[in-house]
Amino acid sequence: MIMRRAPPLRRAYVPLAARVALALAASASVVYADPDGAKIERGAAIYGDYCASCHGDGLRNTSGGATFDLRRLRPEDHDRFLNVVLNGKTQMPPWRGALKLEQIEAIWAYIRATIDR
Amino acid sequence: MMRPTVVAILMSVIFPMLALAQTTDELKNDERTPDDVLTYGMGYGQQRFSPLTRINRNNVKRLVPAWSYSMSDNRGQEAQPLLKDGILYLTDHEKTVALDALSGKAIWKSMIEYPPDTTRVVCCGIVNRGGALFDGKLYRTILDAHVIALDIKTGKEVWRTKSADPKDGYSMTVAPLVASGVVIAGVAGAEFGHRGYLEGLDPQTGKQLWRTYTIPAPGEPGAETWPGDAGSHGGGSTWITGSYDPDLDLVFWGTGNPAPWNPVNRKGDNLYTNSILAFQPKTGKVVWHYQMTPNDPFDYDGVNELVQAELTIDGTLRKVVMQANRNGFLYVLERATGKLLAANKFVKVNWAERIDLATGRPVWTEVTKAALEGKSVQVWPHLTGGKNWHPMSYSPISKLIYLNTTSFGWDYQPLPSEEVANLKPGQPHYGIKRPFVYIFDDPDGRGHLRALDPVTGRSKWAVPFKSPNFSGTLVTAGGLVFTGRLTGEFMAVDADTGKTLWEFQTSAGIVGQPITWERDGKQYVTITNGATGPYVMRSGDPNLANVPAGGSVWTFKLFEEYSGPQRATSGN
Repeated sequence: MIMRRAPPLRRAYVPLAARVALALAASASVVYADPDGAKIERGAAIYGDYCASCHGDGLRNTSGGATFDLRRLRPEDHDRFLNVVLNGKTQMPPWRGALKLEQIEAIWAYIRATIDR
Repeated sequence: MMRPTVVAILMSVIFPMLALAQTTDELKNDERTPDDVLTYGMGYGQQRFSPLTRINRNNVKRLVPAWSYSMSDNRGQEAQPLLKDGILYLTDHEKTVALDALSGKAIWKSMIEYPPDTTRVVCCGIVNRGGALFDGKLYRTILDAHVIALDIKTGKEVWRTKSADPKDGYSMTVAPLVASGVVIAGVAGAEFGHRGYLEGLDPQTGKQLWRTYTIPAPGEPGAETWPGDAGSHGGGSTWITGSYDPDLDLVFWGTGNPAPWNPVNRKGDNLYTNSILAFQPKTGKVVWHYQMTPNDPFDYDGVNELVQAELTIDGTLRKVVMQANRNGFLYVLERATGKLLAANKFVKVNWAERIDLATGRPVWTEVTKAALEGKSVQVWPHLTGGKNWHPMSYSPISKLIYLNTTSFGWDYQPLPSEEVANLKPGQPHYGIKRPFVYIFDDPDGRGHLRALDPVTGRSKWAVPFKSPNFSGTLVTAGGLVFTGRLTGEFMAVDADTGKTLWEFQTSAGIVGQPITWERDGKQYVTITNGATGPYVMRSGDPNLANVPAGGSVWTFKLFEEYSGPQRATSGN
């Protein structure tokens, strides 16, 4: 389970208007049409409540290097991502026991979708 | 072998007498003694006004760094430095340091550890806002909801008191207040469904003397403003230090937003969230309260500092307490009674038309009415507030307030009620669709530095900034207002006009609290840099993309010919 990679994502779900909005600090909500969309949307919500306060809304990190810029995560970094989320790193808390594996995978799906779009 | 023991015995006899030299009277007089800074706010009234004039409009151009000290940390540096007997005391989330104020050299450094899962319940920056000095000790809070006392000579821990458990949503970032010989601390955690409180501790032992919850227990007055048991995890944090009036023996402390942010399952006023509590420091007994934002849907967290002044209102001199609230109104209340004297908008506001001075209640617009029905709205100010936590200053000379404000709104989109129900303390308590969208009216003016008339709320001047400032301000009798920018510039502006007279690019963004002080006939200004906070971390503001992290302390003085290294005046 832990070693599983998130499935590859299609890129068709971001309307042009949403891309324009995302270029600004304020981003409109994105409608995901494909089957992965629900997972990504769930991931976006979890990311917002648990991650955004340190890593930035929509992954836009302006912390000056104080926190990791998640946009640097490559698809092959999945296991490293999972390890850090579960066990923590520097001031990042361990989320083991607080977030379910399914929730962390949804965050990963959201991160990948946001980087790859 | 004997000698240290003898010294220790002698010290134990003599030290209490020396320690008593730092007394309640010194704290009361802090604002009149510019050779020290003993209290949060540079005086119990938190005016952040200095009578010093050696650095002034005419010579501020000659201000240069005297020294810089690295805090060796990438988190935010929000603490106000304290100064006593030539030694500066600074805190951040993981350490307390004592520095020689003239040379910047460390005298001691006292590290702190807290469990790594603590930061699960830290919403808005891994920070600390400073210490309190009294009776030979420095009191401070720790993120994992502990209060500790350190010996100011050595940095050694004297006592440690667990106040609450982070698993229940609690954390602590506040600088404590020592009033009437009691150490008073508050909590953060409304974003994680805690029940807020204030606590009084014995300065000698750390023993808890009293605890006053900001939300009444079932059956207590005010409990009827919450449905069911919603109040048991209803928020009401106390994360900004209160001010103290020794004549009235009253502490004034702001309380924060209700939890969760989404109001759908907590209909009612939600007392005593978003309120000012006036209480007796020895007992924690609340004498009066005033609520700014009842049934708040917008996170208008009412904790902001409560600055004291004497103002002439309708021809009568009044002893007042003032707050520039996140909700965009500037409140002026009579200190003794809590009577509302003025409440005016100081930024763009669309959630309320006005505050009814007779009832003290806001007159809601359709925006708030719709939000309370669970609808999406565009609201000004943004949840960041017309002014965030960073403290304002007040000059008794100009009778003006100097503060950094924001100029943007929020696309508020609540989640359905079923997604807000059954939240447990310790879990995120928002219930709002992500991300929290900022609406910038003017990208060249996302924030302003303003001089405000507290009675009318009108700006005498307002200087726009491309990125808002989240630094405190300091005003001096030299006609200067000091503040800092998220892009790292520390600056002095003319208190009369807002014109920039001096600026220095520091090494990181500034979210600190400037102080000024005097030693051997020379005036100095000290500020921390190293930025954090929700705006820095999540706004995506393009101006911040290349600003480095990394906290330091900076002290400035007027340029003079090099005369050799500054010698430490004490300690090493």
